[in-house]
Amino acid sequence: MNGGRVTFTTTRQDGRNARLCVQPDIREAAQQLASRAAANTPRATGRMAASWRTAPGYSDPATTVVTNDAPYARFVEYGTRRRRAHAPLGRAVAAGSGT
Amino acid sequence: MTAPVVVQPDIEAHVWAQVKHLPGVTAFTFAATQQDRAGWIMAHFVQIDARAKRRAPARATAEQARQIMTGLGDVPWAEGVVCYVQPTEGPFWLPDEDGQPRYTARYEVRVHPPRQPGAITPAPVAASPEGT
Repeated sequence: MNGGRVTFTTTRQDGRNARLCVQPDIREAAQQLASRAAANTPRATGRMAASWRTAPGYSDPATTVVTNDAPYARFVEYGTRRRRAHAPLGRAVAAGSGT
Repeated sequence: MTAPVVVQPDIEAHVWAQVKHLPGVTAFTFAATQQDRAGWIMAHFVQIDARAKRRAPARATAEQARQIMTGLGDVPWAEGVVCYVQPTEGPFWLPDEDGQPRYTARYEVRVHPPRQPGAITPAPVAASPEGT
C-alpha cells in the first residue's frame, strides 16, 4: 500500500491462477457426479456402473470430464428406438441443480 | 404448520403439443428437480430425438425442434409459465443401435404455475415514522 493506493501483482497474466484455485473443487464435484451416475446406472453385468471415470479436461485446469467407456453407454444414457433412456448421467446432473 | 400444495403444469404435454407435427420426433422428460424451497419453480430435463431415413433430414428436424424449444417461453400456455429454457446437450449425431439416423438434444425447461388473481398479497404499507 502506498499513499492510499493498493497495488496487486499477479504472478501469471493469463488468468490461470483463478482456474487453478477452483481446480480441487471442480474435481470433487465431478467425482460426486460420477458417483451419482454410477448409482443411477442399471445393472445387468455391472460393467457400465463400474466404468464411470473422471479425468482432467483439455488444457483447462478448471475442467474435469466425466466419461464412461462401456461401448453401449450411449444407448443406456440416451435410449434407442426400442429401449427407453435410463439417463444415469443426465439424472445425476439434474439432481445437482435442485434445492 | 401446513404448506400449500403447488400444482405443477404438465410441461411434457406442452412440449409434445409443440413438436408433435415434426416427423420422426419423440420427446420425453427424464428428470425434474425443485428449484426453490416453496416448490414454485420446477426444472424439467427434456430429451428430444429426431429420426429420419437419412442424416440430413434428421438434422433439419432436430434444428426445427431446437428453435421451437428455445422459443417455448413465447408460446401462450394457459396451464403455466415457461420461465427459462436452455439447451444442455446437442443436437448431436447419435444413430440408433441399428444405425438408423438420429439427432439427439437435451433441454432444461423451468416452469411455474400461472399466477391466479389475488394469489399475491401485497405487503402492508409501513407506518410513517412522522405519524408516531
